[in-house]
Amino acid sequence: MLVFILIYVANVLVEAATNAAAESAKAAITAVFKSREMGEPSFFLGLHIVRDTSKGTLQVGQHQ
Amino acid sequence: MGVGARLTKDGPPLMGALIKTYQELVGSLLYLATGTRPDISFAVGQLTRHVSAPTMEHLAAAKTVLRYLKGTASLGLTYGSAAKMIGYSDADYAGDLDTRRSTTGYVFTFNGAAVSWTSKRQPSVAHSTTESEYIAAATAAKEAVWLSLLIKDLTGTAAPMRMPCDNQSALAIMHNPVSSPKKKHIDIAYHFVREKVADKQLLPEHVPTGEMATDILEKPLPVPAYTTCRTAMGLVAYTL
Repeated sequence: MLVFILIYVANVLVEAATNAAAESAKAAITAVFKSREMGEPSFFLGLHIVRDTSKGTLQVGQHQ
Repeated sequence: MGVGARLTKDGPPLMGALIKTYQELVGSLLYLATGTRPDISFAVGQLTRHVSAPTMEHLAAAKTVLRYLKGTASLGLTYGSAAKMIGYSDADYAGDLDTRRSTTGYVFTFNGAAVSWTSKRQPSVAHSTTESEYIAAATAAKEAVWLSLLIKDLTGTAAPMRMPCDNQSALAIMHNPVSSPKKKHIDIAYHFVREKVADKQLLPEHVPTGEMATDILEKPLPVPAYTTCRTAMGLVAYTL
């Protein structure tokens, strides 16, 4: 199972095909680094992220 | 700059602090153009060519972009779920009035919205529309190879990249390994694209000009065509 971990300085995104895989990767990170769980990403590096799982869409924008 | 003009270096120069203002403004716009707003890439590309000697006209054009953004602030890239990448490339022949160089525009869409795009003045003068389109295709081919490798890393499989192009003679050069006296001057570097086509890594195909999403990256467009291109790149209003 592939898990993608995107890191920019102190910001981390964890992405995987299943929740279980993402959770285990997050557990591994929090065990070693002092970190805070932020939940579903809605704002990352100045980008708004809007996901609609019912429609299967992902929107990215910079509207402030 | 939906119906923007083509900027030249001539005109009454900006003085004093206004120069800095212009440079900061263009820097900010560039951040947007490389982030989520490919629709302003062409306009911003023109503005950036004049940061060292801006004129009143350039500042006015930059403010036009700001007004456009104010009216379209809610646009964002919207991705669907059909995993498919397409790489459009096109050129605007001799579009830069100062140097008569052509402008390359390419955009790669993935799941229905842009993931990689460029609006760039070509590094040398093209002799013909065919040559300018070929140079654009070669620039896009380099990005295509990189993106294909990235997709292969992420998914484990790599399909040949579809590369729509609206110029029949540029397509003919890509497919035909025979040289002819009329294209001997085209730099060898650009024949990179031909090699990739022969290897079946890239699949160039002809589409009518109206179906190209790239016009917006090369030249000023009337509003209807501009809006069509914008939507083709996946830019639609999003709500928080």
